[in-house]
Amino acid sequence: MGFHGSKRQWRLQAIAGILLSALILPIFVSVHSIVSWDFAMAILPGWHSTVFPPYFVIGAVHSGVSAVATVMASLRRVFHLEDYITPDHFDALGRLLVAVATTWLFFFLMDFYFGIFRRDPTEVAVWQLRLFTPPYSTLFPIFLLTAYVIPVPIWLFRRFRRNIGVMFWTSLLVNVGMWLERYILIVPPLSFKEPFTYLWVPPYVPQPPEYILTLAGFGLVSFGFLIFAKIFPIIPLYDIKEGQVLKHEIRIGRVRVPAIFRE
Amino acid sequence: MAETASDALLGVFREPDSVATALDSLRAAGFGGHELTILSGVPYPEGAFGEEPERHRLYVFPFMGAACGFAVALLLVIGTQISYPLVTGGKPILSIPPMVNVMYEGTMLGAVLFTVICIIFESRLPNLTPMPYDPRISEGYIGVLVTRADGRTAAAERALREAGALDIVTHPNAQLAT
Repeated sequence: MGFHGSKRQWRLQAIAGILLSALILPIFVSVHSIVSWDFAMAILPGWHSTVFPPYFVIGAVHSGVSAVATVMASLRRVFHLEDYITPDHFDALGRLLVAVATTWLFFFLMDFYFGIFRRDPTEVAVWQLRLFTPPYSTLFPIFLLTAYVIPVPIWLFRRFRRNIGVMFWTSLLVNVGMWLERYILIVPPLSFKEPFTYLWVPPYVPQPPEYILTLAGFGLVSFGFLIFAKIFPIIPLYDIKEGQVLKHEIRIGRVRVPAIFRE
Repeated sequence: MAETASDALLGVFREPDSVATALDSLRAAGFGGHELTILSGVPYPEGAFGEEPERHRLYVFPFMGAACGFAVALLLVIGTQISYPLVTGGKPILSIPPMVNVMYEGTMLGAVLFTVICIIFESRLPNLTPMPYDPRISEGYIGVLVTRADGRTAAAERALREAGALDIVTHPNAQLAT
């Protein structure tokens, strides 16, 4: 392309980073809330809730940031990026995850609370299905333990946040938990299709094509990550170099700037 | 006149202070800001070398893109619904609430696409004109590229050397030899 690192190109690149981040954030929120409105507008017990949009958005942030931690730890080990991805990064991610996970828990509890507060028989029946009927009654505690109860208390301790192995396994737990959350959110209300309990459809049991499609989904995403990591530089080296340049010097050329100065 | 490799030369420096001195000397020798380009492997703060602020139109393009995206999305939702007028539940064919979603997404998509195009356009990419370059620049050295120096090459080279240039590169493929 002819990028040669002129002042103009660097300046545009820095501004573009900020600009695109600002633009992508409302898109992220809108995409996830549109998906959640698709559920909420279905007038299906268990889905018909006004808390869904923020619940889905924060759930996506929770599982997304955890996935970032998992992928970071994996790539750090595979590509020997120990000098670039440091415990400081995982520490920062852990702090962020504590806040995000707790916000997500608030919306989860709101969904549960509003579900049972109005005492709508079908809504209560769906929650009974989720909480007391196998296999959901087994999956539900696993989901809650893996999505919040186990990882968040661990992330409260600095030494665990700076431990790459702990961060890898806890963030992986969150991804398992958040996958189960969506499963429990979607499947039980669909199992409750009729107004009378004797008309309930048989419990949903995944069939081999569904297992294959689910595994293929995981495989496709992993494949995409690996292809990206193979083709593109996963660490922008100028960031590292810039950090080295600005680390010890306050005065650069003819201007005096803070050590972490950035356009 | 577009610059070519034959009338360009590159001074390679180690220290930012020397680059600032070189720019002062080159300006004193009659070179304008548009003829001087600083190359570096990392982004330096604005004004670090005493250079003139860069003018760009990056902030205009997202708005242009948003306007175009909004218009396209509006045409899309109105066009498709009028082409296939299926009345559902007695609701109007053109109902604003469901149209807002598509228009919002179209607006944001236009803004993002135009921003990306603008970054490429304003960065003057793709730049296929071969220019002098030194691989040491990507390792932390700083280059001062003087373009349109035809007839003033000696003055430019003298200014660069007096400011402390470690090397002067004039050939576009010099990087292959080093």
